[in-house]
Amino acid sequence: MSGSTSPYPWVIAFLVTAFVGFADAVYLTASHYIGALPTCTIIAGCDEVALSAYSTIGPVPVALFGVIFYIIMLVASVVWLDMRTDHIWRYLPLLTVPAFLFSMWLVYLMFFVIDAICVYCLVSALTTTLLMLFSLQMWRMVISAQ
Amino acid sequence: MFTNKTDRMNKRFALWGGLVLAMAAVALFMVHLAEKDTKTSEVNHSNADASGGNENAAILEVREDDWMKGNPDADIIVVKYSDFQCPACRFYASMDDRLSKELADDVLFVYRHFPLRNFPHSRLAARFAEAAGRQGEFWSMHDLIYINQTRWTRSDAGAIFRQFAESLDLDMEQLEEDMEDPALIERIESDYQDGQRLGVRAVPTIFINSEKIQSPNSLDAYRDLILSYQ
Repeated sequence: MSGSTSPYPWVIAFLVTAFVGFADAVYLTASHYIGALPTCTIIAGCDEVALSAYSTIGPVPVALFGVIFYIIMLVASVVWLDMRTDHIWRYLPLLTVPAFLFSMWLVYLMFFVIDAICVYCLVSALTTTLLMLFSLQMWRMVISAQ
Repeated sequence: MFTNKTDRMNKRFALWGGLVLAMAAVALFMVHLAEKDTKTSEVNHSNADASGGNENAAILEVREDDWMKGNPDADIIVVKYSDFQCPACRFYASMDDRLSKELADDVLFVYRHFPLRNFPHSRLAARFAEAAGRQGEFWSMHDLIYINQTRWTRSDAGAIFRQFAESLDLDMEQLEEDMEDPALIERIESDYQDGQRLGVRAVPTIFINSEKIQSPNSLDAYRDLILSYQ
């Protein structure tokens, strides 16, 4: 990556965003497995989204896929920090773009099908969006450096 | 060269160790937070003894015009603040329905309104239930509203509630009139205000003998909890 700008800040931004997403997804997964019945609260609204049929794929909560996704993102950015293996950025969009699209699908479900808002899900949508943008930026830098 | 290599190893170690530690710390913290959040209703077991406890106890005392099921002279009184449009409340409504039959001699179940503002039809449902109550059909309306919650929650709720009322053979003219009665609306609002004074932040919030309880997550757990007050 011999471009004039350093990719370093982008990687750090990517890492921090992945951490936020990871924390958020762990929270949602934990809430799912702790299994206490969600209630509806004045401030956060209702856990209707977490209660809905869309919160799992088969027996696996969607949030767990999120945890795995964010772990991969974290590991990828640390691999780069460790070994400066630029070529990983070539492949990351293969994960971040579908994750973003899936996230948008969930947001669509939330607003138009389940009709309830889940703040933690919105946070996750935001982090997947940012991760996609950052990874595309890195991808561009790698490609143009060639 | 040797030091360079050590430095590099140290850096690697710091990076990966740092990542693992940070992930573990974040994960533990978030799990803890999730645990705490699901137990928000478990506030203060000795709520009634706390300062302001007298006021709380007074609010939770059964009133003559409360909607109740079970034995009015029972030693165990379950007061529930609930919202007609909240899915969790529907679940508790069905548990209460079962337990009120099973434990009819030992327990009195009281229903109070706590319509959240984020649900568009909660207050309308509460008004229909209250108006049906004036014709002696509060619980029938209550049951119909909860059982069919998914049917009306995203459609023309008012029309569906009217169908319920018709199916109960209610005097529709009277019902419409009662629905607009400021006293009826005020009653729902005063339940809501009472709930706020009691520190209700989520629905359903359940009090057994004036103690705020952690909402149980199964019928058996709920039954055991109620009977532990015997």
